[in-house]
Amino acid sequence: MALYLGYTLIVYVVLFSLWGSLEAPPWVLGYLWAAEALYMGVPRFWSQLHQEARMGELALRLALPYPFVLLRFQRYLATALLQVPWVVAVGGAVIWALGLPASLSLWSLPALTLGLILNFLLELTFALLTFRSTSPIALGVLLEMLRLLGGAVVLPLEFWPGSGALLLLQPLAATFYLPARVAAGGEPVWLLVTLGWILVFLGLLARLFPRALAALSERGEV
Amino acid sequence: MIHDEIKPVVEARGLGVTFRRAKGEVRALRGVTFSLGPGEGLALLGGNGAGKSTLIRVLAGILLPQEGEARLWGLDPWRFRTRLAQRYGLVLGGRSRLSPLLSVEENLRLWGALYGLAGAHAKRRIQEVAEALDLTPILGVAASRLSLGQRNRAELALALLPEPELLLLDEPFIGLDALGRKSVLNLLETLKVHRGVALILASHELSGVEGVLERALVLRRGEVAFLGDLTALRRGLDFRHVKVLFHEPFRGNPPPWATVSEGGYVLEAKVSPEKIPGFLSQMLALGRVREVSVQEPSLEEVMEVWLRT
Repeated sequence: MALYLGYTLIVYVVLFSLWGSLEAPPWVLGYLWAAEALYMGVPRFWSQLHQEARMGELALRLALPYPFVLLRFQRYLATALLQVPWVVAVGGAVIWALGLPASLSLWSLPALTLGLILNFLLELTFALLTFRSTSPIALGVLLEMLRLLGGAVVLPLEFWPGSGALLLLQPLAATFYLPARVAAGGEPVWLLVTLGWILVFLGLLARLFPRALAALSERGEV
Repeated sequence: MIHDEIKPVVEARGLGVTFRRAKGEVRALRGVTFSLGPGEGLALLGGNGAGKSTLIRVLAGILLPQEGEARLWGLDPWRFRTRLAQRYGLVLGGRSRLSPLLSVEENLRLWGALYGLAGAHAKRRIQEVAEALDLTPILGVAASRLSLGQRNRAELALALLPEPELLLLDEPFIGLDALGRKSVLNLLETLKVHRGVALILASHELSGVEGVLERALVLRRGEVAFLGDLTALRRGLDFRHVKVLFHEPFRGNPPPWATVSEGGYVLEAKVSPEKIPGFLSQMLALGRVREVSVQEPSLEEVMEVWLRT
């Protein structure tokens, strides 16, 4: 935990020092505070799930009187609720120490919560898609790069060359950019986009999850 | 509940499972048909790769059969897995459901919560299974520090905690010593006889199983090679163990297929039932016979023969 918090401290110090010196609008610092809290605070579980599937451990998780996805979500949420507040606190401490004019709106809580939920669905979908892969590490690296870029975690979409409108339409922006933007004082109505993606991914998972299990069953990997 | 009394607990009709892997197809089960009622016990026997674990996973709703159908209390286990999991207990030997950092008691409490056990009822159930499986002294020990035998007893405790009506046990005796195995078998018998728990047990450790399970299903390369009473399975073998104890070391030459031990005091042989009278006459000619015992072949020997054929 100390190592993890030390790492988030370094990231915040570097980002806030950099953006603080650029005379960026005040909301940018609040945005980075919230975006990094989400990005660094959300648990990564796809590789664990992938491993469980490959090793046949999934069978034990499935044979429970409790929906597997809900059980996994509870575990994810418990970890996230432990991590995200700490990252937010570290970010706040750095802002206070550097004397920067950054703040988070009252909408931060629902915004970050929706971001957490959408990230869970994205991570689960990704895990199901990697079940067939025997070397998913490259795919995992790709996912992290997409999170950073598509989620606009380091550079808000407003600063992207050309129009960032198209990027707004993809789910990673709805996971990180929009909740962080709302947390930093943006229009709360943007959260409807995140909510929309949550519904889309719920629908997708309702079809994908049984198929992924059937595919594992067919290969005898459960 | 009248509904359940009429229906068998487990029904399998023409079950077929084929695994499609990169190296080709593997036919794991073919045309498996059987049923099991409340309070009945079925020994699932067969060599490695015969399909025992596959069959248990199909019944637990973890594997989807491509052919035939499985039913637990009339419901498809694949479709109603979550609902049915409330009613069966599962042990998959070699796979652990214990959280390594939690103590045995904490694991049991967590497990109980998943099955809706709470408060005094949960506490009472934990005490009951801990006592029944001799886990009381190790309730406070972290799961990661348990020996293999202790871990498997704790796994069994998880399966028994919610008072299941059906037990699906795949190699539950791994790491258990003879005494541990005996106490687990006694417990299973009690559950079966007094609480009407149906029992399917796949194991290579067969000693003592006969006292608890009355039926056997032998699988060979995924197909049913035998389905019937355990005693009938044994009767198929045409020999008995005959042991003759002499008053003094016997004279003359024993039959070449007999084993002599204890300095000529004991002679043992596998003899066909119809040849036993002739064999005994031969023995009487060798010396003064003190004691004769005739025993049926053990289940291990029965399986050895089944596996060889």
